[in-house]
Amino acid sequence: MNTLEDRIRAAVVQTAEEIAPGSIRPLSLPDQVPSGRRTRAGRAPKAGRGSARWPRVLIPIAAARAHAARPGTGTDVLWASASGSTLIVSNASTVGVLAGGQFTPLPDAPDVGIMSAW
Amino acid sequence: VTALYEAHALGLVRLAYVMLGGRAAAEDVVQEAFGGLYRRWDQLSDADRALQYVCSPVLNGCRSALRRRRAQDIQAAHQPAAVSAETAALASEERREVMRALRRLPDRQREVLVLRFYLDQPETAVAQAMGISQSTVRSTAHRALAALGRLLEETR
Repeated sequence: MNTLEDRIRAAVVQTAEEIAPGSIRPLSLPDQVPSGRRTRAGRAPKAGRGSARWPRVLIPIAAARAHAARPGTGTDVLWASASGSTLIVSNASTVGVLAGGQFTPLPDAPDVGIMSAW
Repeated sequence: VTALYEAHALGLVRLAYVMLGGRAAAEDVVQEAFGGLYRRWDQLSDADRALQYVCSPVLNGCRSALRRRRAQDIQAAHQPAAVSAETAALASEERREVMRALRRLPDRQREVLVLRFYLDQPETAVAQAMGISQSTVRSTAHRALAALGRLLEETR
């Protein structure tokens, strides 16, 4: 018995088979786009725009300086990792490494007041 | 991504072609879906499920293409793929009637019927691909079959 379901199945299968195997055009991938950086189709990312304004290494240093140089702390950032998660800081009394909320003073350096800068 | 495309492009283009009725549009939708997969490849939590990640964009792409085309006469939208005269002659009037009626259904009803009857997907897979519940799939399929039956009756 030719039910409605059978008619639909036959129609869609026959229609689909109009597309012959091997007749599909090859995949055309977009140019390499960094992960997580979305662009509209057909529009390439503007190369170098970000790096021209804020060189990558300056961003964490600038952020760390802004964070550490709060009023009253008197703390300087001597070095920051690329991600900004690790800093070497100093103030008038000590020098050490700030990472993950922990301050580790460099050997023979006094440990006074740095945590207030984190 | 290229290997996945080579393995599954035919099935997905055919699916989009059944939905859209136009070969070029179907290929564009599938190309865009794989382009999106390529851009997000590093963020996939499970690369083995990449095919699932590309199915939904294909369905979404079909919906978008149909929306763009809505102003046109939907019955005139079917642009048969380039086939031989012999093949075209063999295409039955019955099939054309069913496809015309299918394309007059609302998007969701058409998708449910195509996924169910073309891909032979169970309700759970249809629900997953469309992002709706199984009960919605069941009720939508019921309404779609009733509507399709009415549309086919009208053409007789």
